[in-house]
Amino acid sequence: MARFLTRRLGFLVLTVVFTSMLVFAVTRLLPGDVARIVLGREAGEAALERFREQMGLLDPAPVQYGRWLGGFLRGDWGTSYSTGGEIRPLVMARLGNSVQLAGLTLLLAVPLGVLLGVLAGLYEGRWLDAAISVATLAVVGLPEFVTGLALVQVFAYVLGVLPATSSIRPGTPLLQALPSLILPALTATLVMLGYVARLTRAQVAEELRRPYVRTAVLKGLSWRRVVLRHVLRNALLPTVTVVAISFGWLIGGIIVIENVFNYPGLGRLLLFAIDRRDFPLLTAISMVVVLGVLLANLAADLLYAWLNPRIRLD
Amino acid sequence: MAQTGGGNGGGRRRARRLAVLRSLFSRPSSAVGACVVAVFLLLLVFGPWIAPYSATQQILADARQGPTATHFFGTDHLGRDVFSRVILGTGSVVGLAGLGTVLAVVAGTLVGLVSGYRGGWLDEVLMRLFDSFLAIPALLLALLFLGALGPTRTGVALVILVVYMPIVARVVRSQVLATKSKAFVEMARLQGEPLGRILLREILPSALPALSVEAALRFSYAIFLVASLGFLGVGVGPPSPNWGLMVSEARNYATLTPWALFFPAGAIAVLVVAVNLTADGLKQSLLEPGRDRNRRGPATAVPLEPPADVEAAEALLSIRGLTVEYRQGDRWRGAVRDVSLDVEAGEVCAIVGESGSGKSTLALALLRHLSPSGRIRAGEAQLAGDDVLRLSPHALRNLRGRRVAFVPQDPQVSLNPSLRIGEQVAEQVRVHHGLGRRAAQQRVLRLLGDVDIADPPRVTASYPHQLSGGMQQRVMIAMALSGDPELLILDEPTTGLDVTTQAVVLDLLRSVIARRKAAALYVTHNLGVVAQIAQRVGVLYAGELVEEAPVENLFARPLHPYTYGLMASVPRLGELGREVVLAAMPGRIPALGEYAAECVFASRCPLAVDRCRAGRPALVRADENGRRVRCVRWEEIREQSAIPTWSVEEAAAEGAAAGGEVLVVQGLRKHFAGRRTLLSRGTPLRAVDGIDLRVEAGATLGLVGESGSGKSTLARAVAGLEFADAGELTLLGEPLSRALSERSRAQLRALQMVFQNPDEALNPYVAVGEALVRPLVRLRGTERNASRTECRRLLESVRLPGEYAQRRPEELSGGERQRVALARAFAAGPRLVILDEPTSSLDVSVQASLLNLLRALQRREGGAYLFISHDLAVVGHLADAVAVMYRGRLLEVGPTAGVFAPPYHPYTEALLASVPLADPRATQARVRLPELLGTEAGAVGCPFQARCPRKLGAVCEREDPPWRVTEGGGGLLCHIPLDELCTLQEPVFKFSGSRTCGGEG
Repeated sequence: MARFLTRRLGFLVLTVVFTSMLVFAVTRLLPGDVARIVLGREAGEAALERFREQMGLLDPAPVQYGRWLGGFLRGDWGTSYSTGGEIRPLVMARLGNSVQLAGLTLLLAVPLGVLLGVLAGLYEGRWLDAAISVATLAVVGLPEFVTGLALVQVFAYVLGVLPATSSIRPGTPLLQALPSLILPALTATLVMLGYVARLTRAQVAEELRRPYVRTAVLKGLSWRRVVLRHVLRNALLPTVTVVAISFGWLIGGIIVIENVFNYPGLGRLLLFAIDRRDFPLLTAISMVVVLGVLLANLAADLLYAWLNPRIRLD
Repeated sequence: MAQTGGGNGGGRRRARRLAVLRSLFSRPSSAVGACVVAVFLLLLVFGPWIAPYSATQQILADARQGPTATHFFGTDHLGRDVFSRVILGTGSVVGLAGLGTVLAVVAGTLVGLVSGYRGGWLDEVLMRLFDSFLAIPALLLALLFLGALGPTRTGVALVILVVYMPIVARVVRSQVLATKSKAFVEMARLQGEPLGRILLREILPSALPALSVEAALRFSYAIFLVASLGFLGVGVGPPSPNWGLMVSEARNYATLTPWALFFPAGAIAVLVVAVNLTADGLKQSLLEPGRDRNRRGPATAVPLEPPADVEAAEALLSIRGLTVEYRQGDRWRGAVRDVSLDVEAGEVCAIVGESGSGKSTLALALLRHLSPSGRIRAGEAQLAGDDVLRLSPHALRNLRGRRVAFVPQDPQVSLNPSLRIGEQVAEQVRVHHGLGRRAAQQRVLRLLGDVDIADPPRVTASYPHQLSGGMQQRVMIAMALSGDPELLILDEPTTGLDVTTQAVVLDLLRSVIARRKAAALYVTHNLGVVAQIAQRVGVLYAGELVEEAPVENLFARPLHPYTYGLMASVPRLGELGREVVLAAMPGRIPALGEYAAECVFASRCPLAVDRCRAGRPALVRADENGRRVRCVRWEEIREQSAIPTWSVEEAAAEGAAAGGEVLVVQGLRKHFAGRRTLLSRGTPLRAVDGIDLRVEAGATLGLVGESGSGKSTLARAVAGLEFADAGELTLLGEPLSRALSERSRAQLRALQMVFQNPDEALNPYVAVGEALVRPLVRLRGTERNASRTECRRLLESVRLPGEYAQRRPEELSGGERQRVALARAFAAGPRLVILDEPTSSLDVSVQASLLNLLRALQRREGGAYLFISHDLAVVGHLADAVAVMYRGRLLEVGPTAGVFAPPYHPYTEALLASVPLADPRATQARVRLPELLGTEAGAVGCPFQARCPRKLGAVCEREDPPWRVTEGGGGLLCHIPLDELCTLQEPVFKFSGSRTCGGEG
């Protein structure tokens, strides 16, 4: 286990370094002159030059990267070009909103997805499996804006029970914000549900084919007991990882969903930053998202390793 | 000829593609999906001619109009025709996504091929990079890159390439890893094929099914991505008819022009779902073709017919007229037909047969556990008065594990990997005996003690992966005994075990069965095991019981021609040397459903006459001992007036050994790095640890050892497939480089290899003739024109008809594939062929004909063999000299008769004593080795000291033993002097060339 931990942490650090370089490089490649964007069209050449020097934009790229990474690690994420405000509090506030949405989605999608997946897997090849498979296959690939808009049509316009947009004000308590969270969360759930269900189904079906299931049946155990004690224990182990992987998926989806519902989360902020060529803001958001995904993966791997005796005792 | 060959091959390829299509269209979901995708692709091509308006044309007069006859889908807020825009949008969505997917698939395939095949640091670095890459959500990555590349069509296509290339590369890489170690790829390497050809011709075809599925999936995600980018307004900007962009523009006018929102959104939804359904269908057709059969659900209940045979019996278990069927397409085929058998309490009845005989089906039918496509059609199975086949589900559950227990072949996968041993055994005890936790625990410890497990408390707390194979099988046996069963069903319980472990487990089984007075049905293919454990034997052939007899009678004089052939096809440990010829029955077991209304064995039987084909012979009682046989000529066989013999390979004169050595190996070493961490280097695995070896020209050196002894690594290092760490190789007097790439063409020609697994022996995508022509042209320099005749000659030399050149590997049986692999190795005209367990996966009758062939080939072509096997009887049969390997070291080398006679190395002695002799009356010394619980000691001292029954003491642990030279040019590695070994050891068994120490016997 110790060996597994060191390897896993080493990989995490490596990935953070690599992705930070990638993010930094890509944001610097974005077209547009930073000085011009910040100072506006009327600024004189001298002022532009002074600004570039001040901001260290004339230094070689590795130096700029080092300075930026150092700042990021110390918690100094710089100021936004477009709003002029501190980046960290802004990102953190929006992050809170996005996490709320993601959390609600996980709460809905994971249990439901696992349940559907287990049912489909246990009844592999029967009509129940076929129905679940086709249904999940249909929702899994739909872009979030299609499902989102469809849900809005039904629940906001036809039924009129839920708000069409979710532009909650900062500081709204969760309970009050909940109605406007439901539609975005439902949209994300539909996509993730299919994903979790399909992978769970594959796991269950595969475990059912393993010889130890025959051993359990021939011991004289009831089918219920074989499934609950033997099959699910092994089949749901990888589901832990599935949930973590789908977390990255969820974040991608949330960028679109927040845009559909005007939800003030990290995704909307990201699009704002891209639109305004606000590089420091863009870099900070990207790093936060990547760190979130990596930590989720790490947590899942650790949980998996801890639950799996073959790794835990190695 | 070339044309017909090519035409045939093309025809088969077409047929296979058709089969995939048919399978795709056999499921309604994927059929609909594929049709919809096709429609969109047609729109992509013909869209510009179909669309009535251009994408940007504004018809202000018609603005914000609902669907009408002129504007099928209405117009948007700018007065553009939505129908035309949706149709032309295929270019912006389907076309762009397709282009990006193609780029990603091509790039990913190339990267995956090279990275997977090359391995090493390049692979390590690339995969780490890709892992990091994949940690970034795809949409975020796409947004960042698109920002940098600019919102153009090229930009979007490149973004798809960047985002999905790593995923494709990973898929291809994993396919490459699964394929590159297969025998047909390694053979191509040994024949000096260039890298490009190996990658594209040998490896890529095997990766194509998975790659096509992945490509379809990527296409779906690419559409998703393009549409999402359009919706977010970061893709190609207005007025592009990207559906996502159209949705986002129409959103603001949702109440005014809902149709402008609905139709593009619908187009995306329909297309994406269709692509996904197609991809899923492709996956099922290409990657899981066998599962189609089970998709129809479980077998429909049919009334179970009473047995045809109603002879009453008093036995504990009496099976009458048991018939088990499997569904094949729409028909039911009998895999076990009309089997009747009695087993008494305290008796071991062996069911012996080759693969396809139905022996495992018979065993599992007695527990009513068949695959979903199987059903019991007729018969009864009375166990102490209860008909097992007609028990209610509840009664069946009480029977399983309690009155009838099952021990499977492969304990490693038959134990639940995530439950402790104690829990798994206790579970059964508690279910059947209603014991409490504490009492169950006590009983588990006692049960584990009963199967001679040394430290039961420790084992109960362990997980299966922490135990050795022998220990796992003991646990399975303990579990089977926990219900105190009346009947034990054992399905090849020792087949996966090493021979020394097998001997120990057989001893255990014999003693527990005798002690408990249980009846046992022991299913096996191994006649040696039968002779050692059974009191009675039933011989199963193609689902029918052809003979049943007490074990001594059966081995002394078989009455059925098949039993005769089976016995004569097995090499006996006691029969050394070249004078013994094995019976090679021609043909093969008829497949399910191929039986005609005649004797099932008639087509292969040398005694078959018209009477045999007139109808299925009855199983008749042959004597008072309960002997039964299903043959019309059994009385003639008993009287010896008819003796089944099989035509013998031509007995060409022994080619005089050319003298000299083909191969000399000196100090060869190959260690594999242990698993390293930041803190420790890990202990290296000393797979080959300083080996000296000589192979004489025109002779066979047998290399024996148990699993993990390093014998395959040694072979691969000599062949150049593994790069040895140190040592010198000499081939035909010339130094031979350890690296394959530095060997000359002449050396490649001279050294060839044949591998174990017949399923991997040939590239499934290359016709037999093509596989044989390559080495002829490349290594022998045969002209293309002459190569066809040469190819035919090669096939005939391995006793296959020349027409086989046009066949594909899937049309060949396992034995035939190994023959083709042999022909391919011999195509180059080698002087040394390394044979790595070439017959281990084959049935004994097929093995016999391959062993005969190997010998005939050696006589004719005069090459030498390095023959690797775990089967001492096979080695004794084929080899002139034997080398015994243990943990990377050679413990004993010498002429075969010398190694098989005292003085033995203590390990050789134990090996020989562990082989179950295929003769129930044979006497054999009893030497058993302890299983090791932990890992063995390090590099110091004798490699065998931890298990040696003749260990002297501290000297064995501290000092490397000396190499003691024996008579006949052999030697052994032991601290005990030879004369002392001589006084300690008796011959383990008597054999034709048997000697005692110090002289001819």
